[in-house]
Amino acid sequence: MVLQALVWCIAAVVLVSCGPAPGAQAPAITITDAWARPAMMSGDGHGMGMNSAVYFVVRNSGGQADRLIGASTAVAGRAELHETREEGGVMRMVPVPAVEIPAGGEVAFRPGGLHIMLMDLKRDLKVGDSFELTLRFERAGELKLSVPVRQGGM
Amino acid sequence: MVSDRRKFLLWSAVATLAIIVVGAAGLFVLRSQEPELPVYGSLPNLALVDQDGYSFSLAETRGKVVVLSLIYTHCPDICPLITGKVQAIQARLKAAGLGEAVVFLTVTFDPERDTPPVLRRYAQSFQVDLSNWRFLTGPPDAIEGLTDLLGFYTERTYVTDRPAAAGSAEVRAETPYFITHSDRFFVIDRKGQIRASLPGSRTDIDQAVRIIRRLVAET
Repeated sequence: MVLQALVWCIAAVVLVSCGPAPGAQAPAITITDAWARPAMMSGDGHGMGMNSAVYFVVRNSGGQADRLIGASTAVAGRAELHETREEGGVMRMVPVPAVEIPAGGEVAFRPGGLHIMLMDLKRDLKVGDSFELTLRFERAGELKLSVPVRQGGM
Repeated sequence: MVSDRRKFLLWSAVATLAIIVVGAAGLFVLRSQEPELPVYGSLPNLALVDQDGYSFSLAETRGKVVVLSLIYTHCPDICPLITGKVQAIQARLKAAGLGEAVVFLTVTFDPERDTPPVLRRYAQSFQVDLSNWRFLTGPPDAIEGLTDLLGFYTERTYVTDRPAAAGSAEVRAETPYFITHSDRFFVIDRKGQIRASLPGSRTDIDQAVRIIRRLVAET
């Protein structure tokens, strides 16, 4: 009995010592206000269908910055980080390799700015549907969220 | 003998009336001081095809004010915003009883991919009220002529893992692309003259409705 308690104590000490070093709080990522635009697949069997975009707000309440480095979903062949940039009244969409989420800060993915672009859709995304999206962070790892499809963004 | 209370009520009524008259006059003066909407040019008489496959000539819109937007259906971010703005304008005008005086046209600047069925699906997915709105496609050279006339910039960007090969015609034919484009839409008067160029996804709905109302009121 005493031996068993001793083993548990040692195990507890080992587990605690495997955690983050004191003073280096890990990022604590939360996602809110996620939604995606409706879009339909190519109806003629060839070429790309419509593309969708996913928007949300990422908040990092931890003490260490993190970076969003990728996304994936079963409803699209490709999910990429993109940003729409305005240059003299012309809208240009550019791929973004990673987005820094500062410690204690937040980054909004909003229409006309940062978004996850969904290409090569595997099914129609209709208003009222929802689907699962996985976001990949450099430190926090993978985070799954449910994304409703709706109109909006004006 | 009129009581003090009655005198007070009388003067209150007179003062209220005066405020209304002065306010209305001020509003009229302010409205009349709004600058004339310039004429940027005339809409060409293009033969296009709508989302149901029916032929459509831009000349058919003469006598109505036209809200003319340009989109491509593969655009995930800005074109849906433009469509949303135009939907909001359409709803406001309909609620004001002006639905019959205004027609909404959306022309694709990606006619190779945006066939009538594709445009129909786009309209359906954004739940567009098609009662006075048509989505149009047509010959690429005709649409290029329209974008040139409107000063509407478009440029294709190919999405490929083989950028070195993107220049070849064979690769381009098979490669998905996006289109960098202007963020504007236009208001056309009853005579087919281009009278306003609004900042697309950033358009102020109130301002757009005011401009359209002015053009509806023109004889």
